[in-house]
Amino acid sequence: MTLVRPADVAVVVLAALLVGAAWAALWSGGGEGETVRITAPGAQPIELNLAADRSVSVEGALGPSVLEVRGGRVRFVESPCTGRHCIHAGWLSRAGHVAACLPNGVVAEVIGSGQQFDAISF
Amino acid sequence: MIRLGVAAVLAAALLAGCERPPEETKLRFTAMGTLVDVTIYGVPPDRARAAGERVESLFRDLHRAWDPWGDGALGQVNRSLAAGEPAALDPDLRQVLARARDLSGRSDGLFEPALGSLVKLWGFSRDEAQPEQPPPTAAIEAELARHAAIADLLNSGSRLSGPPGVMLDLGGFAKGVAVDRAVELLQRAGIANAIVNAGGDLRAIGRRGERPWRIGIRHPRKPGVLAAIEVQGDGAIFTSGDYERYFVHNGTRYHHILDPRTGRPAQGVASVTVAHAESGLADAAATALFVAGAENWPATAAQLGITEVMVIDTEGNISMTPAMQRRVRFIEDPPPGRIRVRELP
Repeated sequence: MTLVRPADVAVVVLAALLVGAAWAALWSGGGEGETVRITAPGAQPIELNLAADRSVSVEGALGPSVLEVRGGRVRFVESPCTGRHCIHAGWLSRAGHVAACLPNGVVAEVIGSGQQFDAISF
Repeated sequence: MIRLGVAAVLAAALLAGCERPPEETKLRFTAMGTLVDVTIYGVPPDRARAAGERVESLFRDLHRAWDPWGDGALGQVNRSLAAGEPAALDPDLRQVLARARDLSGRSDGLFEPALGSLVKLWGFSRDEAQPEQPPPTAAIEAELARHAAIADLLNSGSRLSGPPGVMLDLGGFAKGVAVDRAVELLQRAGIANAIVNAGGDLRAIGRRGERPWRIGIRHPRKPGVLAAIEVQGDGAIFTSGDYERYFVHNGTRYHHILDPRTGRPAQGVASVTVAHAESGLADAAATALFVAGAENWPATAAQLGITEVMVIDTEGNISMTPAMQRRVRFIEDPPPGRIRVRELP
């Protein structure tokens, strides 16, 4: 009598393949944003579904920043800063994308279930 | 029954990793004109948070000290230079500037910290409004005419002097040094697995549990990630791109990475990614290689002792060193551009 039969090996191999498949899914593909998390000084973060078009005004350190959600993307459209880098950043759509109005302390980060990377170099 | 048990235990062991909750603590703060993310793995959240807050405090101190236009050590140096007076250097700033001078020399001046007034002329210093048009040619020429390299400014003693109007700007180096110091701080606090990411320029140490850290490299022209690279042990990944700060005037893109030889944005390259153990060197090298250009970067990389480089030119062509080719993995198959492997001289 053998300890391990072919069927047992198949179970283990199948489990290994499932782990491998999960790893591959994390590495490639995916990455579509699902929500945007908006943080502002002295307030609880808010999370908006990217599937629902809307505009939102968030109070920052200098005044209101206005963000627009449309067609699965989000962008800054108004902010009380001089640099306007947040508006210049344009649309964010992929998980992990971040834009910020640093003087106003308002940060928008796209969240998605397929977060493949621990950090992005750019 | 025993057979089934063995199989079940093996299968459970393989699948267990998927179910374990992450032991990851993330902190985010603003410093040096960018968002800084600190990710710490494998220690209790309270301890990780305390270490992260010390990193935040460090970044704030360095931001104050190295802000070219503030009231800290570098700001005072620039005010002295503007007044035509010698500037006293504190030991820490002197050490940083000496390292910057060394790297500037090894890059044949392509990385040049004494370009502060030119950066300001173009409107690319961090706190200013987005520029809308390039400065007049005569103003650029005037800046180039009075330009002095950092090697000319930094004397052997603890003072610095130069022609009036020359200003230091540690952009392209300060962030790298700050990341190195942050990592050292974490290591002294007993943190072995972490990423310090200052606005897309980062250094990772250790691993994320059972796997290496996974770093994405941004596509310079499209949303999303172009390639992936793994870091385990200790390594910095720094990218300089023409998309970070730029404006478009009459259909031409003007970005923030200035060529000290022309006084204008460097031409031909869209992004440079450098992997190296030391963040300060990786930071300066990414800038120097960007300025060196799509053809000439290998010579500069060799002079700086950098072996892992990927360059994407403005046509979308990708070139890289053999060492980088062994590490990098493209998200698209086939890769989105022609890949050329460049041996270093």
